[in-house]
Amino acid sequence: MSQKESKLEFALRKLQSLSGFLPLCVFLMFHLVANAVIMISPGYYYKFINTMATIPGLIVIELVIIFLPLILHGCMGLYIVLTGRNNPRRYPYFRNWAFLLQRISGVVIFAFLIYHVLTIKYGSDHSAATMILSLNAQFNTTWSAIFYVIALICVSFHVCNGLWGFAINWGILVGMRAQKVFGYVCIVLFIILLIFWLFVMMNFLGLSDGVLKDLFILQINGF
Amino acid sequence: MSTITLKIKRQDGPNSPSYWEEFALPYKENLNVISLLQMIALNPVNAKGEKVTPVVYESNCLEEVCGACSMVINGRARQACSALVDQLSQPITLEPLNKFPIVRDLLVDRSALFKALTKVKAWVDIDGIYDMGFGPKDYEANQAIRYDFSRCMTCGCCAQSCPNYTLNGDFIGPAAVGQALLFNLHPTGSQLRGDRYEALMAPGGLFECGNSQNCVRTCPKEIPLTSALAKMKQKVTWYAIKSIFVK
Ligand code: SF4
Ligand code: SF4
Ligand code: FES
Repeated sequence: MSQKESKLEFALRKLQSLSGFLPLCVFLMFHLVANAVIMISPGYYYKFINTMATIPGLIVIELVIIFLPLILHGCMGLYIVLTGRNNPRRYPYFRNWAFLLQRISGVVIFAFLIYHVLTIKYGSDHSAATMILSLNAQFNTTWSAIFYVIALICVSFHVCNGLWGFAINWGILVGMRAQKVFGYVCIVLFIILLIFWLFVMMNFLGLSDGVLKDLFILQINGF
Repeated sequence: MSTITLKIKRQDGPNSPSYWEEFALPYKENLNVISLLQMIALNPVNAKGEKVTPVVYESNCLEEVCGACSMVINGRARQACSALVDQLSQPITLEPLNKFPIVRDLLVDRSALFKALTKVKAWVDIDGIYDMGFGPKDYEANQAIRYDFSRCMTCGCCAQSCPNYTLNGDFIGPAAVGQALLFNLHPTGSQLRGDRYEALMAPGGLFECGNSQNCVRTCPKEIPLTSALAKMKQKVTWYAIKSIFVK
């Protein structure tokens, strides 16, 4: 009898968990490293972004490894959020709080990504100069800068706590001691990741007037 | 302290509205919450001096091994028989477990827990058309692991504290997962392990668990539920991947 029961939900839940790590977490790391190129120099970063845009079949790659997994992970995630009943006030344990924060951060990231993708990726034209300029402008506007910082905290937390859950869901972490130790490892990862993201953000925020002017000229000329 | 103040969340029937009622009972040493409820049954008068119906509750063993008397005491799910009044802060609040249908007052219908056990076939299959003789021998180390899980009394505290276990949801809950592991570890019981993995993959199965780990903190029997959940997640995941290729 049990053999006949639908495995759809099981498959969706496993895919939700898998997609969080592969490709989303891996993509996020790539995104972080790619943005960190700006630390070398803004000019180098500008060239780097333009080179990236010439990768053949970029739209397909984006669709398959970013958009579809993101939609699956996000929508299935919202369903999971809505079916749970959180209770950290009655059971105020660290893991129970982390469980709730995983859900809250997920919802914040969902909202943030809509904003981020619409304003940066599909902002106006697709030029690298516009992108850098709009990021610089957003980071210099108080409310959007705050939104970015909150989103970065949420992303860093969601990824690190998600990694812990992923390791359990896929049978990598089994023993209670192992779960506990890896939990500490994830806290350290969270701190490192967050500091790194904020550092990258500072680099976009603090572009010199000269660089901004150069970018502006490039933008006007349609590069 | 000469009186004990008790606040009970009552409900006259499955669909009636709930209400709080206060009781003041004379203090005695070494009481537990069941003894308080027995005192009320003997003399059902509330703190205002009105005669009321006795508070309905369930209990049986009175030594924390049957699980019948589970209720929410001062906000936490636990057994009333092992909740010592001298260790509780007052007023003592009693509420029924709200993850199960309420029958009356503190009495709830925990049959969902037992249904979950039948779903995962939490038993050793020994019926056959001929005498199957003795089962295989077991190692002591394996028995020691099984012993931990064998202490489960299906009390429902783990389900009550689980954020993913809900009254109308279909999650089977952590206890049944622990029992599935218990019987998979049994040399004869393991014959049904495939069926158990299938049951844990069905809707309401194992992956409704989001690793909040409340269950392991509230289990009065200190059953290592989180390691059972993780172990079964590992087994079921591999079973599912293997099924793609061999079925
Ligand atoms: S670890 Fe899983 S089963 Fe246990 S309380 Fe959390 S969600 Fe529920
Ligand atoms: S696992 Fe623990 S809390 Fe859950 S039903 Fe069994 S004894 Fe009760
Ligand atoms: S009466 Fe059996 S556990 Fe309390």
